[in-house]
Amino acid sequence: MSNQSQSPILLKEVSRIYHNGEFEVHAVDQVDLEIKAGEFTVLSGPSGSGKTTLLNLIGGLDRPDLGEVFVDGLSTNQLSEKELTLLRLHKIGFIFQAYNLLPVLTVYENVQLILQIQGQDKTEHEAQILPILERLGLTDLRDRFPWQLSGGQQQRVAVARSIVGHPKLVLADEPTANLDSDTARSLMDLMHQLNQEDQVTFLFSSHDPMVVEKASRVIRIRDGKIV
Amino acid sequence: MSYIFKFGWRNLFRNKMRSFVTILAIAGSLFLTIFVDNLQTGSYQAFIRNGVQSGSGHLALYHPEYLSKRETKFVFDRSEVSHALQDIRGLRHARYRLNLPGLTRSSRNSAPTLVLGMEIDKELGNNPNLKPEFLIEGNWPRKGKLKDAVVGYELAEKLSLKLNKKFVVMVQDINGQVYSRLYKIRGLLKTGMKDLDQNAIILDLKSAQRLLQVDDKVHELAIVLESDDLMAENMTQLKKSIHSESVGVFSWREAMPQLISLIELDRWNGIMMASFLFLIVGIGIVNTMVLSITERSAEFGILRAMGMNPSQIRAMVLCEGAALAMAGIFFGVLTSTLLCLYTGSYGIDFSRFVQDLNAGGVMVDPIIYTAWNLKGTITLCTTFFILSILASIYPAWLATKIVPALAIREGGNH
Repeated sequence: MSNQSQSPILLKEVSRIYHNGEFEVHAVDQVDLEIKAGEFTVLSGPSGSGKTTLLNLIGGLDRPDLGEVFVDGLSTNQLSEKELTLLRLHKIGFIFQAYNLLPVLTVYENVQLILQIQGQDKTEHEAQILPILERLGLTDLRDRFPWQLSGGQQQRVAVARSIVGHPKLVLADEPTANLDSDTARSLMDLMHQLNQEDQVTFLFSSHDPMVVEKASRVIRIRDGKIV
Repeated sequence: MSYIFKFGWRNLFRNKMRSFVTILAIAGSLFLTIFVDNLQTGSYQAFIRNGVQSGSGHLALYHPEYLSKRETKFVFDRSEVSHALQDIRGLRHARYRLNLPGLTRSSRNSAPTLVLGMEIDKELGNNPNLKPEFLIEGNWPRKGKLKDAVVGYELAEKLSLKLNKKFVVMVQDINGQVYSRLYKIRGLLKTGMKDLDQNAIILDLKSAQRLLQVDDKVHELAIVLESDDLMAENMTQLKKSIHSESVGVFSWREAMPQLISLIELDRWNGIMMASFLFLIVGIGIVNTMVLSITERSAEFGILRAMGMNPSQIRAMVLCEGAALAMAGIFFGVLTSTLLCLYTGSYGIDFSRFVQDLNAGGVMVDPIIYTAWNLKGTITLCTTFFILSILASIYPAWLATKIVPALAIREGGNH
């Protein structure tokens, strides 16, 4: 397992190629990228430009066909499935466009699930979860189920879930795409605050100008290449 | 691990109708199998009880070759065994019998018959074949009266005989010679058992001994005990105290192998039926779980993305299967218990469906009472639980094969 620079994210000539019959689609094409600790970065580009594929490669949900992806210094190419799972569990938080909360769990339980998977002592859960719920304005909603929440509230729960395990990196795929502009702005402010206060590295994908405007760094991507 | 089970349990309530139908299938199948098992247990107990009372007793003494050859010459002398009865613990009663195959002739017809020589006074009130209501006309044979006979009503009809009419019974006597005697119908018997109604002639034991041309010899001594539990020790005791080579000690299982065969056959029928139900329920569970997992592939993708490993995913799906099983088992046991409590007290009357009350040579009561078979119920519940877990293995494997990136992308387009 090679241990490169301690940047949360380092990509070296990474390509991801999909095969569609006789055709090859270069979803990500020879991308070199470094994201430093504490950055609040957005991957911006039109639909189909390769943003989600790039996030999946960084998040260890997919593997590159060419090149190398380093997360917190570890090459994902060389990690086994088990090691990749542990990497995601302890070092990466995910936020998805469709919130993807577990509908049978309450707000508190959705957030708690990460700690349970990590195997943390149950007696310590509350001490970790309650401050996060308070910061995200979710304290009064802790016993509600996702279907009892608005889209903005659900996405705030998703944010809480993504940071509760103290990851080095949070990957958010179009986090504001399903929200109205006011809710989206408030969510971005919240995440920016977390980034500033906790020094968590955030990497978004989005084509929303408001999100791009809030980011401290913008990486533009088109046809799988950084432009 | 408890959170995985909680998660699995709550997932049952996501598609309530589908879970309800699956739980209903498990509960219904378990209800049916437990009920049938308890009904079988009740009927077997009744068969055995009646078989013991009307047939061999718990223990029986025969000539060692009598059971295999059924020849009338294999008799033993009462004096060879009577002393041994004093040492039996928990003796309810002991009855001597003779069984003589023969031919009965009236002035109009003839028919094969089975002559049963009995100590009538001891049999009445104990032998379920000789219930008072079965004597539809006349009276039972009197002790020591050599011409009194009770005849099966169908046999009497065949021979065109009525009460107080005379007929001749012809048998092979102890010396192998054909011997016949004249009898008079003192009573007519209608039991519902074809073997008895069509063939039986019941005589006082003395009268049957006279027909066989023996003094005080019998074919059988049926010993009824207070409890089944006393069989083993009394068998040992009897074998110790009887020294005659012309007498063997047998358990009711050895004496009535046809009854054991019937019970075994019926038990296997039950097992076959239960196996088909297991198969159907198993397919139902697989179907439910596969549908549930296919619908939730995005969710499994999210869980994998968040760091849940394949064994945790597998455990979660298996817990769902276990939760389905536990809910089904709870309702199945509850409903079958309620029904069995009722049918254990009031019974089920099968008399409209039963033509012949003979089962393996034993009279069966058409009203069958269920009897609680705790071991059987535990076995069935365990089987259903294991079946549900087994049926969840394939869906669990499917869940671990979901590709997170693909599943999230497809799920995100909802």
